[in-house]
Amino acid sequence: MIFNSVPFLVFILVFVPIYFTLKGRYRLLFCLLSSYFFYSWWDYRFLVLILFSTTLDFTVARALERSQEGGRRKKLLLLSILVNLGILACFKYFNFFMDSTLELLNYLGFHANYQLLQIILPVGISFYTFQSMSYTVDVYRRRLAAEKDFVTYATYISFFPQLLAGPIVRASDMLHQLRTDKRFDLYNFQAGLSIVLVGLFKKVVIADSLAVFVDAAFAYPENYPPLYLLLGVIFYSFQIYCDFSGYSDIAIGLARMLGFKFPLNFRMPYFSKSFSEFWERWHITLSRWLRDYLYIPLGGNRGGQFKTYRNLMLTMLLGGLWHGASWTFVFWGFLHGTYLILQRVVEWARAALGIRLPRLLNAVLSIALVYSLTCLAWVFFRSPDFATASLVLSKIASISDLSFSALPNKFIIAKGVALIALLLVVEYISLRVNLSKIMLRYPAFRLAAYASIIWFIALFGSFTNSQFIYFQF
Amino acid sequence: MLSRALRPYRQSLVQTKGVNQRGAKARFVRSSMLVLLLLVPVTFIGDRLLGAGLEWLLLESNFRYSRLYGGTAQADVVVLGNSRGHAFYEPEMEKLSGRTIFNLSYNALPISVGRALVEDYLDRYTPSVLVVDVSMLTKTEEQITNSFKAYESLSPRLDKLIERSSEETSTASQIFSLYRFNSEVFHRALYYLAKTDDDWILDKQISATMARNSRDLDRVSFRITKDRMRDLRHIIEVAERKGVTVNLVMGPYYPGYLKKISNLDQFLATIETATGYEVEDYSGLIRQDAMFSDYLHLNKDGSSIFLAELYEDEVF
Repeated sequence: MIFNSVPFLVFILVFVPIYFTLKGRYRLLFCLLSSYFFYSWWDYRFLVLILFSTTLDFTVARALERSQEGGRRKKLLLLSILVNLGILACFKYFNFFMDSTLELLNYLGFHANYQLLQIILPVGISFYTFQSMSYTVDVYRRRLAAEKDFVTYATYISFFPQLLAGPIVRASDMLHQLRTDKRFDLYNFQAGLSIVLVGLFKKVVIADSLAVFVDAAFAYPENYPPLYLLLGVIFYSFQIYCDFSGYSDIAIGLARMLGFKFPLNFRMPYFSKSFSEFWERWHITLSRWLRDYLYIPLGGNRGGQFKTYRNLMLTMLLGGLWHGASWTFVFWGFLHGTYLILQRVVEWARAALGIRLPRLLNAVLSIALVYSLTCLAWVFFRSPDFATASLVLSKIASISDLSFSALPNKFIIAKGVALIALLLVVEYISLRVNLSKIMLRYPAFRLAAYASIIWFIALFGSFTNSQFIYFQF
Repeated sequence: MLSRALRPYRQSLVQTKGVNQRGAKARFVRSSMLVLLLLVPVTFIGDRLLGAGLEWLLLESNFRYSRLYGGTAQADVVVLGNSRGHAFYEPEMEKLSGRTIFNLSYNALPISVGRALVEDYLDRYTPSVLVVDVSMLTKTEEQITNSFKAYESLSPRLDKLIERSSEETSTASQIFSLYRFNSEVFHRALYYLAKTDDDWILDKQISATMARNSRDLDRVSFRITKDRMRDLRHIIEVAERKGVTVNLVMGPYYPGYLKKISNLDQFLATIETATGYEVEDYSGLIRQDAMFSDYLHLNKDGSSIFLAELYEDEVF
């Protein structure tokens, strides 16, 4: 069941009144069963996986809390991590590893053969596995008490607003919220509704409109002129941003309507002045997860420059692999790792040489540079293989035939440019003014905003390409 | 029972956590109730008003279908086709024949929509010749049918067709008037608000890579369906009843692509049997790369050669 669909509208219209009418344990149980129903709308068979992962980590965490013996605790933690990563490896990476191994063997002259398995990737597996793993790690580190109630824990793992594509909510942020009954609160409800509408706008109006153009550009790059492909890359940068941040907004808004607070997942990432800032603004919950459960345990920035660079690169490579079982994703991670390392080198060199640019010029140049290099990395993220990525980049680099009049799909281009401009203007304004506060303070503004978003969705929404990109991760 | 069920909502009226002071809370609750109550009427009234404004803009446009429904599309010769129908370049046809031309062609236009458009045209105007490029019978794109929803209030035929093609689109258009204008057809109408659309033709040459790749193309087979044949037959019957001469033609294909079409003769024979009309086959008329913009479409130069041939053969 996806958020921008009629079945989900029916689901939420039935869910909300029953949810607020029930109390205590009944409410929690209803929430859990509804979340399982929501998931099984896609494929009920994979509920077994969620249940297995939930039961395992719930049991391991309880055992971890009871145990005082260091060796046993380590073994328990290892069990949880290995099983969770094992599930992920099995469903998400098995064919990738087999395929890569075969290619390597063939390259070395050993002619091996193997029939790849038809494995379905369970939706949301990367998200709920990470949530579940971070919970056992936190209990192991004694930063969090193990949850005693299975229903509360199971609801945390499978809570429908964030089950399929995040945000990755930490147990420490969520379990205490689940333990207390949430009363229907008009303020939260309206704040949530505003966030949901903005998310829908980003997804249905901007991301899906841009998708038409982007899909064509990356499917047949050989047929399009360089300017078309350049626009395709720029449009993709906004498509993926609006698609994923739109999903996150809807999830955060739905949770808010029900009385829960989810962490922010995006904060205008294309206004970043450095790559470290970009990762503090893009998919924030994943960045923080990788920082806390991978980068810091690897040693973080302790232990000298070389080790810091190594840790940065390893974190970004694994972050890339998390997105999908393909070398193009790994390369995307490699590029971002390189950017982060180069940024540190440049910062060091600038400080050593005392180079200083005027503030405004520095900001504009930094934003433009970060955005351009991010777009370069997106080419590998979006392309099905390296051949497509290199074709797209080499055609763009040829800088021939830059006439706009020769471009096909001018209507889609005009619509895309207008929507991106609108997004940037609204984001720039909200950098300076808290729009959501104004919206909640002035009822007329609120009413106008709600109605305008609905009109925009009716007039410009694209309803043919409705799947969210991050579902595949 | 009901009272108990509603208790949490009643309590919420004085428990808005985000608002601190008591007076402010009450004001927020009142304004929120007002916003939520007014949202539905404001949304729908605004939708209808904006929809009426956009419909006015639609009829002000010089786009072909706006002219058709706006009453300014009288011509001697009317042309119907898909994107290949743009090769019937109106200024060139008018120059050759001295007659007025009106082109109903649209990219990937399904014959079912073509049927509604021709019938609507013949209800309103009196042309003497109708030229149909039969390649529009080779495929149907439901999306294009739905794209014509901008004109559904002006044509009961289109309205019925869209309802048959997609119940969801039809229902959504009834609920939201603005949704009718969420289509490429409407965007084109806006584009032609201040300019004419009779110069709609591709003006580029097929790329060397594309030309070379034609050797590796897969075989193409045209699907022949009873529905599409029935629609074409109906167009011819209506035109005959109104005393309009009908000419069926098959426009030129890029030679490399033409070779890959496995059932062209069978396709044309089926049309001829179904309609009793001969199809003038120009599919192999042009052989130079420079006359094509891609495998399916002639460019402006190619169109001139094609139209000269058609004129000589008295197709228009």
